[in-house]
Amino acid sequence: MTDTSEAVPNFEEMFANRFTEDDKEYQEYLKRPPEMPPIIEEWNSRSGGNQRNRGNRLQDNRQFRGRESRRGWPSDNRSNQWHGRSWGNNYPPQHRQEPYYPPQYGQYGYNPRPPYGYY
Amino acid sequence: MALEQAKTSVNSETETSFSIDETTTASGTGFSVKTSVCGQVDTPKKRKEFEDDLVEESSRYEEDSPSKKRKLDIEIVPEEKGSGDVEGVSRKRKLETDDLKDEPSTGDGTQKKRKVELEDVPERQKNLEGGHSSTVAAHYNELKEVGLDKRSQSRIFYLRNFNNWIKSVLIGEFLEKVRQRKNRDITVLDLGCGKGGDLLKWRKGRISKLICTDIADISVKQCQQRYEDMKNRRDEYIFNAEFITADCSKELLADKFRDPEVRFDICSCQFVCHYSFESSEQADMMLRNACERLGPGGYFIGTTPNSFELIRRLEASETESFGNEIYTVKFEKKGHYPLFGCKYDFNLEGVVDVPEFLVYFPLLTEMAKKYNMKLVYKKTFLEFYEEKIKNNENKMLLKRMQALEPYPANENSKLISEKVDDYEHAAEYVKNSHVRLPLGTLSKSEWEATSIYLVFAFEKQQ
Repeated sequence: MTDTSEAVPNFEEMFANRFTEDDKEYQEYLKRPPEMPPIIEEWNSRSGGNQRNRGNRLQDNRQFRGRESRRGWPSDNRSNQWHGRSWGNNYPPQHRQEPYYPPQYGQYGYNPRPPYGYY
Repeated sequence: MALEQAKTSVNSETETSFSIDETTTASGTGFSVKTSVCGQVDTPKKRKEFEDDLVEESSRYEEDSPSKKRKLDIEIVPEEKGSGDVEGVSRKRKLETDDLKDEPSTGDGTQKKRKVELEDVPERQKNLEGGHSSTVAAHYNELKEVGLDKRSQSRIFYLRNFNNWIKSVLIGEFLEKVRQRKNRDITVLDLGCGKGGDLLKWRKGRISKLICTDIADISVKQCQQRYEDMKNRRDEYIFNAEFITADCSKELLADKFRDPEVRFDICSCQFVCHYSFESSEQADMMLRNACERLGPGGYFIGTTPNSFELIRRLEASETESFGNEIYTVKFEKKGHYPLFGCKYDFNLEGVVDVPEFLVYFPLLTEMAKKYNMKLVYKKTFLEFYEEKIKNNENKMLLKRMQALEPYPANENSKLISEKVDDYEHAAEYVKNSHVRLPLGTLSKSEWEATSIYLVFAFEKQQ
């Protein structure tokens, strides 16, 4: 250890509480509900069908666009958001009412209202 | 990690399905050819499994798509740099969405190939590589068996695709950020490039210059071959590239760059940086390589296991290990977690145990300060997904990449997992009224494996 050797001790001291009850960040993390797999409705991926189908589908859902605009994410979304797309789904993104990190079920597509029990 | 390996295999399998679609539809064929070549080679690398293949898929789509081409033509004309840059913004999007749309035709080819060949399958172990050339070779040989293994490999097909999507979106996000500042001459360092699973992404991203480095020589060669194939494939624009085999935790990469003064806008380190946490010196060297040559406002982005999640699961386990039928993580000791050298074995899909080292993220954040790096964010894969899926283009990309599994399965196919419990969450969800089927989801087993990871981004301060 050369130049880093000095730093190491500092880190040891700095993070002496790691993963313990005094590790606030870790303790906060432990409070999170278990993460459940993402769920998206109306999932017609390529394997499931051909593109033509997808295209149609989009149009069908078009009405729902727009709902979603609520927040602009840091860099990427804004402009891309709902302008016409060719296929895929356009259901509005999620309508989650709660904070989001314990994201349970990802998307509630399509339906403006989350299904019972999920949000 | 195992994940990567898995990816490979996945691809192969995937291909099948994809091939059908894509090939048919699109021009994938041409690509396929290339791919195959690459594919075979690939084996050795690291764990790219997770991502690489996947990535390509997405990329392929993008690449191929007509729209891109057009752009390309225009851009291409000048030099790579110029062209790429010009496109800047638009490209980004393409990265994610546009390409995809078009993609059917083009992109597919590539992926398919790989998948077919299975190339990726074996590889894992890249870490080891130093002394593992023989191992690598062995893996290589194993590749041929992939076909047979498809099933098992396919078991993490969606997982890999999902991870690949995560990478695609992450890369797209930060390329966009860079473009807000400059639109030309975007230069990227791919630290731990593996066989080049992200090449298409960078191409999509219209960068001007890419330096790929990996500890595994075979991987780097495959990466280079893949790049050459891409370059020859079409008239499309592609960045300039440089390939370096080196252990980024032990060697100073700057000494190996063609242009010693090169400055990067982004350093991407996907599923790799935890290997360097074997010692403080190695972690520091990795960070130095990743960050020292970043220009002001440059980004260090990547994916790595979330130590909070690892330890949470470990401590909830009655033994020193945890996992499921897809993955297992085995620590040497519970309750004692050194900052460096906290080794654990990660086994994915029964493939090779690759030793990894716990990365206590607050430590990484602190160490990065030495290189004037400030944390932009760190997010679990789920957090990242939840945020990014709100963008419709990202969502479409998700579909194109087949990053979620249809539930229930189509008439002609089966769910990837035979365990009913793996879809309990989906079955429960379906009980709700107004649910539009099919759902897209991941089996719990796959989700447990991928939800170990987090996404991070640091920005170089002025």
